[in-house]
Amino acid sequence: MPRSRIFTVERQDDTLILVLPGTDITFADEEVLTEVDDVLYRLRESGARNLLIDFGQTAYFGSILLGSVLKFGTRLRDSGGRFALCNMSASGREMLRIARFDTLWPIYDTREAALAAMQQPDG
Amino acid sequence: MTLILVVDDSAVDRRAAGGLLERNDGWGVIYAADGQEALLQMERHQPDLVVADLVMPGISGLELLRIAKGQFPLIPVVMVTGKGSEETAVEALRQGAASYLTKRRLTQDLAETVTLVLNAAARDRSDARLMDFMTQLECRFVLESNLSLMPPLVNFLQQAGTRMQLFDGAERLHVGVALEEGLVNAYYHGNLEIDSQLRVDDYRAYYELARLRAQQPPYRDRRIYVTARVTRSEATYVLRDEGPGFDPASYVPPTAPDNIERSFGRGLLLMRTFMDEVRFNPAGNEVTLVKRKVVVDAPPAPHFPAEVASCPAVESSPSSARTTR
Repeated sequence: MPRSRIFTVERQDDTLILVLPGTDITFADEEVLTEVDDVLYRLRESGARNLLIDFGQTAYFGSILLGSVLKFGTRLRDSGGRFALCNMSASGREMLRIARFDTLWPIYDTREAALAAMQQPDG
Repeated sequence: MTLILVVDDSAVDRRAAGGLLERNDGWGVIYAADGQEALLQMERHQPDLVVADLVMPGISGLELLRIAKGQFPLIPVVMVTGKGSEETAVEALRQGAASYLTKRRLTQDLAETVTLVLNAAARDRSDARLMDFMTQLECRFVLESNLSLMPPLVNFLQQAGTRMQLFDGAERLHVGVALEEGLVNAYYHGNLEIDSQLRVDDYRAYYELARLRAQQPPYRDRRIYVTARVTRSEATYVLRDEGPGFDPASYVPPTAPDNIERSFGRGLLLMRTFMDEVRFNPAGNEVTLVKRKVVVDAPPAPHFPAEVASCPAVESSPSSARTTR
């Protein structure tokens, strides 16, 4: 399995945390999509149920990353896991709002807040 | 007096670097113990240069660099690295650090590096001052089918808008996103005629086909034509490919409740959101993006001569749809 060059993957309990770099992701479409597959593979192999994307204050990104967020969210919904986003810059949050993704998944200000919410029992 | 800000969480290293710098006549030194304090010092004193440790608690050196490049673009930042952080140093250069030094060779290299960077920064400031007097910029690029040319082009166009004080900060990011989406559309869906649906079905096949077509006629011989006209009040970017075009009337934005989860169509959505005008020519292979300056209040209108004539583009639908964008 190739080592990620864009994303960093961490794990806390039942949740995989995908950390985006603190730099702009531009013109790296194929690389992003390859790493999305890599993360989905890790998710499946690790037995973790949930996925949290920590945007790490990535200043801006385009449609490919939006499409990737959608792919993650759909996969987690299909598998019955939880999916959330956190730590977004103002521009990043605006991107999600434009795509209406803020209506699909919870967005938290910090990783800690997201993990605390994701560890709550289903209600 | 040239003012240099030294940022390091280690008091010993901070004083050592400051001592080396203060040996030079005409250089004054101020200090910060972390990234947060550094940003306050930059705000307060507007130093001529920053020397910052790469590894610090809280805001890291890289994060400080990123914020400083956004808030104080004309203040150069020299990063200081410890042993084993060469990869991070390269990343720092990529993100706009003016130079980097290793702590091991600080005594030998600090003054010389700072002198070189200060001289370069003085030239940059002269250039920036000249740009204050530019009222219009027009340029045209004819790009071969090569994606690597696009990031520097977007960066150039962003800089042109910033230097003309047309946009900055978030607006600059938005223009960058819109241009990137437009160029990617022109490349993949225009000149290479690859449909977005293939990326959804099998993205590896999508990019493999792109690589193949980039080597084959007629695709490889097609060009992307980019025209930019930037004034103090408006930027107009025209991106044209040599593909068969597409039908903008067929475009359904992926924002309706039933469409939010559709896998494509967000590039055009971002363009339309971030630019003030987006229009296509009748053939559907040319998009015109217009960004106007946001006027917060209503001060007396400054007079700049020879504003740009509007581009001859028409919003209409060609007879047939080609690739999905």
